[in-house]
Amino acid sequence: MPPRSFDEICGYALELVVGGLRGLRDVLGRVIVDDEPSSLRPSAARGYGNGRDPWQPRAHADRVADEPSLRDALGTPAPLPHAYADDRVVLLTRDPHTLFAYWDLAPGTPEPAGAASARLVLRIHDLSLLDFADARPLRHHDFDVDRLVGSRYVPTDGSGGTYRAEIGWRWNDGRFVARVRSGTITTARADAPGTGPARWMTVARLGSSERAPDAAPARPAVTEAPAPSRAPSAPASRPAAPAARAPSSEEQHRRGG
Amino acid sequence: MGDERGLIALVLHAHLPWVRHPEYPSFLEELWLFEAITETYLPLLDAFERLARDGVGAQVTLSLSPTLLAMLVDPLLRARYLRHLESRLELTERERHRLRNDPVFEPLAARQHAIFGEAWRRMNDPGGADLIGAFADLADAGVLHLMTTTATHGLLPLLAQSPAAVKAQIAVGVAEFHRAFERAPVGMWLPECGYYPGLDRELAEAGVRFVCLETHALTLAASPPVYGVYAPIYCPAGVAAFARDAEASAQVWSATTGYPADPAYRDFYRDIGFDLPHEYVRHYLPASGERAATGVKYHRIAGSGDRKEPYDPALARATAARHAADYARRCAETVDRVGAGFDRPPLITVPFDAELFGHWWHEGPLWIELLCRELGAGGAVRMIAPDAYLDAHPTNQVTEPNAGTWGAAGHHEVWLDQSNDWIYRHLHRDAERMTALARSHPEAEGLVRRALDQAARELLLAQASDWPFMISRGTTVGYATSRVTAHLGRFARLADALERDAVDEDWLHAVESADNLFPALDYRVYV
Repeated sequence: MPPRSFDEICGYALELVVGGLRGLRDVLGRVIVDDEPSSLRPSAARGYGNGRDPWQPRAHADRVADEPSLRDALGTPAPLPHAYADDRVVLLTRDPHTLFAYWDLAPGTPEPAGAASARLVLRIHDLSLLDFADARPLRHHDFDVDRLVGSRYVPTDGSGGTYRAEIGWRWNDGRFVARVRSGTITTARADAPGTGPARWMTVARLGSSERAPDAAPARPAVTEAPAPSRAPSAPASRPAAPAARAPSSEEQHRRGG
Repeated sequence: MGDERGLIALVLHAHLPWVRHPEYPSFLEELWLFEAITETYLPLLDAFERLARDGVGAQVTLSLSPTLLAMLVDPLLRARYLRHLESRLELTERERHRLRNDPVFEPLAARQHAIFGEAWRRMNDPGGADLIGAFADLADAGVLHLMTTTATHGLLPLLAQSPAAVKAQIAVGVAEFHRAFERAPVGMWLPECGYYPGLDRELAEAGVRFVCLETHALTLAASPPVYGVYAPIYCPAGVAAFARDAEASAQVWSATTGYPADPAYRDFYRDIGFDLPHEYVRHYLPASGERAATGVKYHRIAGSGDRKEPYDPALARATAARHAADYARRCAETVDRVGAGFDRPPLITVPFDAELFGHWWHEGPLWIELLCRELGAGGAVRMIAPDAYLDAHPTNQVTEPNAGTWGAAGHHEVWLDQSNDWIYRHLHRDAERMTALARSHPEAEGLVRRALDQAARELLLAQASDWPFMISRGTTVGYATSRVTAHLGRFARLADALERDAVDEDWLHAVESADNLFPALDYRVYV
């Protein structure tokens, strides 16, 4: 009796597959994008397959390169540039107690008078205690720069600080002339929360889940609110230091690694 | 509802990096997707569909990354997935024959065969094979609340040197979700739970309603959180932030003290790809011939070394049920302990990588289903999605969360160390270059438009947090390095060509064929 129901059909097909159709592997190995069975295509009812996909009308979409020619075209990745020589220094935070600075200096940049007797240094300014942007930083640390392109990890004096980096010429008498400057960054707190007052806000939901994709995002209505009448006045739990998320064996599993 | 004293938000994040290699007939790393579909996504869908069918009032929140969505609908990868399943069906059929006289292991081989067979049937069913449609149906049924993440899982704090890079990652993540589900995401999963002060403004601009953060983002916030981590806060721009409850999370993910370590559960590491003679399994191993997992596993965790006991599905199921009940009880104890004096029910937020369930912890999807049934029975703790919580509790404390991630040690240590820090100078510079290109071509059309769009794709792909993660963890370092290098190299070649007004259409076509995700991407997201 021929199979009738969908399950029976699938079961019949399954038997065919496991019955030794190893050659199918080779056939499928040559599958190309335009030749997939219709059952492999997503349902036409949903967004990705609904015919409004802007990819479809483009002329290049129906040309599919075969594996060898695609491999040849893509080639082996070339090494990334060692330097861009665009004169910059960038600061990143690694953790509350460590900054990462990298720099890329252009050769031939005009030097100030007397530069031959100065050292090129990376200067990390601690701006944590400043109240306004133009004030002179109270503290800084200097690190010798012996290469035009480089990086280093820099310990901070404490967590929750604000920092900026400069690379410039420093003379033995303390004079410093900046050559490049980074943006300002702030490290995370590590031990205790801030001391700001508790404020409350009510955010009213606006917009619809049926909004068109290209519609402007719905902005919520945000209003200050009084504290709930029975909200606890003290933190419900003691601030905790960051906890390690997962043992390395699990992290290796993550992302399929 | 009468005994309800607290709430729990179970948030799952499903993500895999974009791995698609049409330039080869098969590619080892594409197995990540195939294994995740078989072991995680399909079992989760089955569990959620049973919950919907039975009218269980579950509200699981699920993030589906744009790269994963793109791979789930890619015809080439879907065809290769079927080929993979057929290979496993053949292997398990051989196993059933080999073990035909073994009353203990033959049923285990038959069980594995059935798992692959069910996946094969579903992927050949025109209705069932539409996995994105299935997730959408479950959202319509109220079982799932769907959220998005950034375009390619870029770790935003380390991209913030270029504001346009952050904006593009967020905008494309939202747009791709719209394209897949024809609705707004309920929230945005921040890759690695990475947050920095000020990010909330970009999120609010994109219409993001809430995010999930690590515990210390709230406990070390700019002002002390009056509910601890047991209620969300609003960031200054109005985006809600829900923080992970570390204790409730560890019970699930800890490999040593959590549920997955129970001796009754299936062992992740024992696999016939390692156990059986090489000649026998060679045909099912990578083309290089190296030993690898096949997904066919017969043992449970009980035992040590090579002396593992046979897997007992009935025992594993009973254990999962016991653990689901135990988790519900522990949650009740937690809300009773922390909720005294609260004017609202305490909320326990537990975010996890979805792939933990099923791939790593074989019984994980079953445990989730049983937990949903346990919590849906009207006990002390009820499951709720973060957006539903905000509907019920629109007034919350406002403060600036502390910067950090959910990675080991809580900050950027995993994604920024001496093994992978070389990446960032290139990512930052190229984001600026992309912005300049977008601004200098405000209305590009034709070939130039295609080159600009593809340049944006390549830059986004290079920004994935997966690559520095793999490099620092020493897993697939060569592959991760080559991916960063390849995408940045393609970006540079496209940028050079655009700046010289000399785009090579044949080469552009090859790159478009390889990295064909985000077809609706508009390079002007970088303007």
